[in-house]
Amino acid sequence: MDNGSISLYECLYNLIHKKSYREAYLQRDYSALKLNDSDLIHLTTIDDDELIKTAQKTKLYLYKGNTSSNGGLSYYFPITISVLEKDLEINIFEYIDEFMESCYFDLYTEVPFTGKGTCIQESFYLFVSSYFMNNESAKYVVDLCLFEFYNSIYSMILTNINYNFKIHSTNLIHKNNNIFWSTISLTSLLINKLKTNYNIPNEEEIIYLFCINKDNKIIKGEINEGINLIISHHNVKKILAKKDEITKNNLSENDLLTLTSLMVEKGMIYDNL
Amino acid sequence: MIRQKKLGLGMGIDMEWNGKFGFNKRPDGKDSINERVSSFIEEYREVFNYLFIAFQPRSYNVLRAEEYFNAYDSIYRTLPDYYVKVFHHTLLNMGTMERYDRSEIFQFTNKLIDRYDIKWIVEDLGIWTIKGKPLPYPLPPLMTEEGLENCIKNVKEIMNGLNTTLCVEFPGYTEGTNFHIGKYNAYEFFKILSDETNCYVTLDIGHILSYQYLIGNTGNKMFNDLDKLPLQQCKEFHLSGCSITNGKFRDLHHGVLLNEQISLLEYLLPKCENLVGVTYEDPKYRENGLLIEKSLPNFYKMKEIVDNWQNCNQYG
Repeated sequence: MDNGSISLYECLYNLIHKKSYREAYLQRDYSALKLNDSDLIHLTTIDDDELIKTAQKTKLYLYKGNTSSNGGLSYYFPITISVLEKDLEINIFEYIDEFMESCYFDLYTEVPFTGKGTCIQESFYLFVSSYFMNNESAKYVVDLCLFEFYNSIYSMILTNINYNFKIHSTNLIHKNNNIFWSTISLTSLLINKLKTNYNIPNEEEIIYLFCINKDNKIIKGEINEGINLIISHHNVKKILAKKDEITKNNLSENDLLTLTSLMVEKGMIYDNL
Repeated sequence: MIRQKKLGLGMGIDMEWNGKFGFNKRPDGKDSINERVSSFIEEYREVFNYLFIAFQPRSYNVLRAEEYFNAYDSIYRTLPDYYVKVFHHTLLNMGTMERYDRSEIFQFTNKLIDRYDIKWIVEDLGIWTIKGKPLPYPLPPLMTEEGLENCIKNVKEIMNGLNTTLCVEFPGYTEGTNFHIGKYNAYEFFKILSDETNCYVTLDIGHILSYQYLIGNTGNKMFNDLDKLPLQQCKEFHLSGCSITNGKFRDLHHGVLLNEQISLLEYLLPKCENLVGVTYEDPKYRENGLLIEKSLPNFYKMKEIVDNWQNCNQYG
């Protein structure tokens, strides 16, 4: 293959998933397709209408899902999508086109046989996070998306004990043997947007925990700062070793020991004493 | 090729999870067939002689046969002992051009083959997923020399990896979500593939018609070029509900067969000496299990043709 050229198979992937590539083809801008001349001739059999319909249906299934296992972005991110549409006046289908053009979409796999990728939820969150990276006024959208990402991926991990995808964001989804946990600070703005769908009590500001404990039970809801401080230390030995550091943050030693004991009882940290 | 007993008519069901036609999926794993499917099987048990289940993934777990045993046991136990069991795969992805690790798929499938004595595995030749992402409808493989070489390599690998017969199904060229790349004549492509691998094939009559429409073989020309297909290697026919909209063919799986499909069935039956069965794929039926009224006329025509064929051709 010539330098910089892509295969016909790669071309097929791009035609279906990358709007800009497909439009270049539909406008017969062949130089933009990066194919060898000998491969270009094979494109003459493509029915343009069918290509467009295939791409549209692919996008639609991403949005609404296609099987009972895959709910689609509209199922996993209902609030995020509502906010994108109503608050930011973004056309969601055009937004999904941009998502599909991104490297984050390329990370996603629904089946793992060409190599495990991320689930669609993580892929979408990474895109949204990157999209609004330098936009402070849209930070709340990223946080909403993060909450909904956590909500759906924790359900997935809970019901798929041997899940067939990779978790890329290990800085967000913490794993310690078979315990998973994440926390997120929810401002009153976020709570206001989320409360109806996710049964969050009306508060000013909370820390929200998602956790799958060692017995594969889900624990989620508001936590106090003490639990938030303790959980990152994974097990009792480490917690006690870091006791002085932890108790600097307005947490008495007595409360530390009480909370640690409670968290061991709930399977959120390991007792390795 | 060893001549086999003619099975006659079979039913093929795409078993959804928690859909209208399929399994009830339970959090405790004690899945079962739903009432509608159960009623259909009870109503038409004597009409059919074999069943295929089309695979749909139950979860996002690593593929394990054990996860599917409860569901599959529940449907197979409704069948009389003489019923032959067939499995319509959707993961083999024979048209892929990527490195595609099938070891987990083989392990999964061979456990099912072993447990249920599955007599053959069938899947449409095509590209079902690309870079791990599913397509709305399997696309035909790249209809190029390289595409053909790849299909041959993939089919040989799969035949080697499965503990039962593989039937490669002629791909669909349906309107609505389907296009192809490459100029190879699909019949010639399919014949070479079958000859080079010595695999059995399944001919979906609707898929054949879809290609005939694509190349302009409609009306009086409907029977042209069919001798280019690997008819002697054909083990199974599929017939599923189709329609023709604005001169384009649509593989809808809605239960209603076209007159053209019946004509093609009659034409091809005597030409496929090694045919074993004719599958009515994805019938549509009501809650009480009865076939929808629209499907009945051509269902009974198909049944009559297949019954006559079976009675006249018990072996070979």
